[in-house]
Amino acid sequence: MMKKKLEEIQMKPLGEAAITVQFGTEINSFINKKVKALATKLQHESFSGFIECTPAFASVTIFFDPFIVKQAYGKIGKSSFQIVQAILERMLETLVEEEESTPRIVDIPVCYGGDFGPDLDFVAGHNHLSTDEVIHLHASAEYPVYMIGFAPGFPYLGGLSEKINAPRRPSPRTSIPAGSVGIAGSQTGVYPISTPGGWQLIGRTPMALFRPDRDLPSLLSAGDIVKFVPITVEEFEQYQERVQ
Amino acid sequence: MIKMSDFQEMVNIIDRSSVNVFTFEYEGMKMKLEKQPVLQDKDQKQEFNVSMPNQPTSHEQTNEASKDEVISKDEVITSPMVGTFYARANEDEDPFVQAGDAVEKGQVVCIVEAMKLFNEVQADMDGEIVEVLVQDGDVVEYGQPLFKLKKRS
Amino acid sequence: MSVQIIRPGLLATIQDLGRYGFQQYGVVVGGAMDSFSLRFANVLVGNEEGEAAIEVTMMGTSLQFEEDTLISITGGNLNPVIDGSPVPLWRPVFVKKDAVLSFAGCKVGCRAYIAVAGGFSIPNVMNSKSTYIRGEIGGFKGRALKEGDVIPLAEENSFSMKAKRALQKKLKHNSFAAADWYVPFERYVNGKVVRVLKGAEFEEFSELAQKQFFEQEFQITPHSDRMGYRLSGPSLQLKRPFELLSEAVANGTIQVPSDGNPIVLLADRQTTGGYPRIGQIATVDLPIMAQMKPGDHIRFKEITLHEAEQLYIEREKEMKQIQTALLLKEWSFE
Repeated sequence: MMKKKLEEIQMKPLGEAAITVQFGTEINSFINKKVKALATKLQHESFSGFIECTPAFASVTIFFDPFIVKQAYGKIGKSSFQIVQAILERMLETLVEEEESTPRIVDIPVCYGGDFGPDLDFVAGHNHLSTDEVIHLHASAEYPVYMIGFAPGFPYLGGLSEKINAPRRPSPRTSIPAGSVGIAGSQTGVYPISTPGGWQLIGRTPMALFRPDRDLPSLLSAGDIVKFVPITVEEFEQYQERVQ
Repeated sequence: MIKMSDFQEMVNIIDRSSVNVFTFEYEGMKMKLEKQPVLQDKDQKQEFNVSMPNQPTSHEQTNEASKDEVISKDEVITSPMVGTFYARANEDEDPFVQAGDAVEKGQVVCIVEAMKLFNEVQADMDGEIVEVLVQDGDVVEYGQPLFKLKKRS
Repeated sequence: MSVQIIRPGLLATIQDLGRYGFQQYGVVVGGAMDSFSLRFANVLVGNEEGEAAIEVTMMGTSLQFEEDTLISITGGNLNPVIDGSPVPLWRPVFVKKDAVLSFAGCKVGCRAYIAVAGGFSIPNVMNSKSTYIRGEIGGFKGRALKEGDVIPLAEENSFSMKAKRALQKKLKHNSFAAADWYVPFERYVNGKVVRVLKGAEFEEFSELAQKQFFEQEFQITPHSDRMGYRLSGPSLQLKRPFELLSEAVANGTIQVPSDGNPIVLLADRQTTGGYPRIGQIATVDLPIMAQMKPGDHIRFKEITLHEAEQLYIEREKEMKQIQTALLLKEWSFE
C-alpha cells in the first residue's frame, strides 16, 4: 500500500509557486510508476490554482498560482505551499498505480561517431573501451522511457550499460544539433531540437522526436521502450531525403 | 490597501459617468453605489453606502485652502480628482515645479494618485508658480487648489 | 488593421504569458521574459492580461501602424519615439495612421512590450501565441519578426474605442497622443538586487559558496538569452561532486554546472535540469532579472518562502486594484 510509504515521500518548494514531490533518489521502474500515477491523478482531479505538473524520473513537480490557491482555500489559515502540500498528501493516500500494459517499442536509427558524435572518443576513453564497443553496448540494450523533459520531446531513458557511463561536460555547449544522441552520468537521450546542453554526444538520429503539429507533440511517451539501430552516414542522408 | 481617497475618487468617477449602479467587492469588503435616476436638483445628495470593516472613517477633509484664501479661479491649478498629491515622479527625482519656476501651458506640475494610477496635472496657462499650496503626500480633494500661479501677460 | 515591421532590430518576437500544460512533453513554457510588464501593457489598452504583445530587445526595432491604433509600451525604457518624438511608457497612447514607432536604445532595462488594443490576430499553437524560436513554433510563423512582416490586429474592445476617441481629441501636431495618467510600476522592473529563495541543493554547496552567493556581485555574461543568463563572479563549488537525477526547473531557477558559474533559467528554459540548484528567484523579482543585459551587475538577497509568497499575493492584489481602477477610467472616458 502507498500509505505506509508516505514518510519516504519528500515535498520541497521550487520557489513560492511550485512544489516537488520526490518519491526517491534513484532511477527505477517501481518509483517511476508512482510518478506516473500521481501525474495522471493530477490531470483528472486538479485543484483551484493548479497550473500543470512536470513528471520526472523520481518526482512530480506541481506548478500553482499562490494567489488563487490562497483565495480558494485560504480560510484554513495556512500558506499556499502548506495548502498544496495538504492537498497532495491526501492524493497520495489514495494513489493507485496503473495496471501494467505491454509497452510500445520504438526503433530509433542512429549514426554513431564522426561529426555526429564528437564525444564518442571521450566516452570510449573514459571507460577504457574502443568506440565500436561503446556503439555495440549502446545499440544492444532496451531503454525504457522514464520521462520526457528538458526540451520538447526529449526522452530520459533508463537501462544504459554501466560500462558506458560518462560525466556531463564541465560546461554546457551553447548549441547542439537536433537529433544528437548523448550520455550524461548513467543516462542516455536524444536532443529533439537544437539547444544548448551538457551531455556527451556519441551520435545523431535523422528521426523527428518533436512534432508540434500533432496532438501529441512528443514521438515518445513515458513507458515506451526505445531501441537504437546503428546506421551509416549514407543511410542517415537517405532517411532525411525520404522525410523531405 | 485601498485608501479612503480611492473610494472618494470612485464615487466621483461614477458620479460623472453614465453608470447607474456599481458594486465593488474587495477582500471581504463590499461597496454598492446607486445613482438616483435623472437628478435635476444639483443640491440633492446622492445616496451611497460604503462599508469598510476595520477602517476608521476619518472623513473630515474640509477645503481649508479654498475657505481661507480668496483666489480667483484662473490663478490656481486645482486637483482634477480626489487622491494623493505628489510633487515628484519618484523619490529620487526633483519636484516637477517649485515656487518661482516658470511654467508653460500643458507642462506637468504634479501627480495625483488615485487607486494606484498616477494622474499628471498640467498647468492650464503660461505663468510662474507663486506658491505650492499642499505638501508632498497630502490627500487632496476634487477641485482643491494645489498651486498659486501668476499668469504671464 | 495591422502593424508592419520596418526593422526588426536586435530581436523582436511575439510573446504572451507562455505555453502551459505541455511541460510533461518537454515543451518549453516560453512567453514574455518580463511577464509583469506584458500583463500591464495589455490591461492599459483594455486587453485580457495574457494577450500576445511584441517583445522588443534592446534596440533598433521599428514598426508602422496601418490605421489609427491604441497602444501601450511597458517594460524597460528603450527610448521609444513616434515619428521622432519621445513616447511616455506605462500608459495608453493613441497612434495616428502611418506613424512609425522606433526604439533608439536602452535607457533603463533591455526589454520593452508593445501591446495593441485587441491584440494580434495570429494562431494559437498549443494554447499560446508565444514564439519559441528554437522549437520554431508559435508567434509569427514560429520565428523572430523580420523586415516587411505584416501582423494583423484582432478586433478592438470597448475600452480601447472609448480611449481612442478621448485621446484623439488631445491630438495636436504630434502623430500620437498619450494619456495623462500612468501606472507607476517602472520601479518593479528596475533594480540591481534580486530576492532569492535557497534552492533544493543549497546545502550541497561549500560554506564559502553559500556565503559568496548572497554576498558577492555577479555579472551577466554575453552568453545570455531568453533561455537563461550565464553569470560570472565567484566560482561556486560543491562540498563534494555528485550527479543529480533530472527534475523540473522553474522560471528563475539558479543552477550551477561544475565550472561553478551560475546559470539563471528564464522564459525559454528547459522543463527539467540536472545541475544542482543553489537558488530560486522570487516571482516578484523575475522582471528585474529579465530586464538585465550583458555587462550588468547583480546581487542576490535571501528571502524566505513565506516572504516570497506574501510578496506574490500583494503583487496580484495590486494588479486587481489597477484593473478596477482602469474599469473606472473607461467610464470617465465617456
